Amino acid sequence: MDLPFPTLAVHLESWLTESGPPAERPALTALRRLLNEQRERLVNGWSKTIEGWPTRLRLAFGVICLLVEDPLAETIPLAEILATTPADRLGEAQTFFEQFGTAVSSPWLGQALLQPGHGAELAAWMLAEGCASLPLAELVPVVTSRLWTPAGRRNLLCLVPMVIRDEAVHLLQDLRPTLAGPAEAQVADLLRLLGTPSEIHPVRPLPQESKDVPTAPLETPDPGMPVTKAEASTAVAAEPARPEPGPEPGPAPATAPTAAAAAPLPGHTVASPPDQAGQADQLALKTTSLADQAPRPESKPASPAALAVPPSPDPVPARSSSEAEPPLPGVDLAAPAAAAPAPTSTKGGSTTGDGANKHSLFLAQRAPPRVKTTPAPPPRSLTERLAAALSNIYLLLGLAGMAVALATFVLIRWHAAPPEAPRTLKPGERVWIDAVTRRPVTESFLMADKEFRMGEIFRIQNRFHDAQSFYRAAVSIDPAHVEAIDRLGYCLYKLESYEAAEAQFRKALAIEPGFFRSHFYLGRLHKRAQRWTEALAAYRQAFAARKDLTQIGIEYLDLLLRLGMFEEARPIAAELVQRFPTNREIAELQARLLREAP
Amino acid sequence: MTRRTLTAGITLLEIILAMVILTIAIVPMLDVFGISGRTVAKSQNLSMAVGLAHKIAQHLLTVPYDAIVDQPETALADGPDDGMFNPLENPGTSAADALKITAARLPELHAFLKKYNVRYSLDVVGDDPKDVKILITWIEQGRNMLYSLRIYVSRR
Repeated sequence: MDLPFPTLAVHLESWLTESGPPAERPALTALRRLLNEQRERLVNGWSKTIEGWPTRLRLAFGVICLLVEDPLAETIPLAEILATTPADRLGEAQTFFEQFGTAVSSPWLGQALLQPGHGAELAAWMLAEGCASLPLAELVPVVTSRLWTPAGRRNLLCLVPMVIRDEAVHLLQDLRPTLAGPAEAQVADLLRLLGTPSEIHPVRPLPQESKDVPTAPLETPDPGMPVTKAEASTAVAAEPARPEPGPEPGPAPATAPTAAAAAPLPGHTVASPPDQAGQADQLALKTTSLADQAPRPESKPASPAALAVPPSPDPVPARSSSEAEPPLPGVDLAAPAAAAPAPTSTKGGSTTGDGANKHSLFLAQRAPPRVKTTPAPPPRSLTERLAAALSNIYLLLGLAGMAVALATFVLIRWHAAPPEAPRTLKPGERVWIDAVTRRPVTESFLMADKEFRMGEIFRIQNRFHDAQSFYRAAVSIDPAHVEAIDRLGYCLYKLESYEAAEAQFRKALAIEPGFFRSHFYLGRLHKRAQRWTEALAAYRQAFAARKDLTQIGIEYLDLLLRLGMFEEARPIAAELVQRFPTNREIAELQARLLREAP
Repeated sequence: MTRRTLTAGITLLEIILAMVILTIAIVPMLDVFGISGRTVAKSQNLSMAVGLAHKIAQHLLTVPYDAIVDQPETALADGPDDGMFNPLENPGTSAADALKITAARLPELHAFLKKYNVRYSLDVVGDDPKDVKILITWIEQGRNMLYSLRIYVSRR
């Protein structure tokens, strides 16, 4: 190739760096002149010329061929340049088109869309990516041009904003009456999918697959559709002649139909590259054409030939959200509008011309952000529901038990039990509650207590006979007066009526078993009668009740020493010494313990 | 309660059961406040009784020995001029200065004594020394309450 690389590349680079509309940039003049001069060489070896060029320069070469309206555009289709773009350079290619703005680049891609092969699919994908930044007014023709490729349909549906969904539905509904058979079914499928746009996700065409096989799955052709190469060719031959393109690439409605009318469609044998001819022959056997069945409406800027599409009963199979591919950049349906700007702005491409205004216009028309809904929980079986209900009941019953226990505790703890009725309560007798001891106090007790107190006065004076009479009077008034009974026994003990005294002490203990004084004097009586075991038991109880009384401790310890119970005596002696360190009798008992104990 | 149950909502039966449980649990709780108030009242009454008994005991040391005799139950509020409480106090120098426990002279104390029907009595036995049992009685929550204090008074 004798075409100097730097010359064309430098002019392309200049064209790319210049500002203004692409068709009015100064470098375009030099490029047009250069292309005219080198046309023959470029036609024969354009692929070798651009081999190794950066992606942006290669694409610029393809775009320039379109802009200069040179026949090179047919020989050097943009779709083929796109098809040679490596997979890892697709983002760069997308940025290239985005820098011109989607409205400007969509006609270019629209023409590439109608070329056969993988490049058309890439163009469709890029159109789909750029669809979100298109103003509403310009979206319709782009949509119209893309409806006739499987990937275009698919990418269209996933990117159609909510605000124009109804418009797309109307478009399809207008188209539907003109169709019949599988074509109508396809449109019906499209309408159905438009009803559930959240289930549609963009598909990035894979170069390996799309280069050899059509993007859309091919189904068994409908009997009514042309299934042979001849029929397909007939359908293509029936197309009207392609009009000459205008001097400038206008908006999509003006240019896309013209390109679509003449360009071979995917699957057609017409104008297929030599390396794809054999494949196209085979593909033609399964190609269907809608041209003879569904003439395109006059309002639509596409020729009937452009309607020839591979049959695809379900070109965009509905997917569940879990099966969906991860959304491509700029098509995150769940992202808020503010957080998900148009692809042109998110991918770093600089917008030229009115791209920014279009972007803002689109934002104003954009649908409110979809709220990402959490998946509904799986339906619960009856067993699970019963188990949950039972667990709730168990929990509530547990709480009820705790509440009842708490209530019971509070009631028992804080509501003092009513005082015991005195045993000697007489009919109509008044009863008081002692505010300190909480014991009931009856009128009888008060009367008996008066006698008891008289007996105490005489007892203090060691006038036991006199005291005994008062105590007896007290007991006669209130037989439950424990102190009076005990004191009566004491008086009898002092009067050496031991048996009678023991009887009184036992009587007092029968009424109040813990009455320490009766235990103590009963112990004395047992000791005197040498009933050691009983005496020891009585002293133990008396000492346990009143350890602060010296005499009880002394007599208890003395008895232990007498009985030789040194092991029991040691802690008692230690406790008494600690309590009464200056008591002489206790000291002597401890010395005796140390002396006698082994 | 499991998360699944929470998301499943609450049935009417569960709400009713929960309300019953809350009622069972809350009623005793509310009673605690009443119990607390009654406990405070009891403590207040007992303190009053102790104070009155000691006041009587101190008074007995000032009255003539022979004047210390049995005293039947006597109401403190609007009681007779018995030399024990009425007049309760005489901060002045004349009989006109004496404070009697009446609604006009000591309204708060009078109301308190009236409310609880506070009474006192003396039970005297023996002679030289005299065993004097001072009994303070009052009605608390419908129950007759009693506080007693015994002192010995010798002839001076």
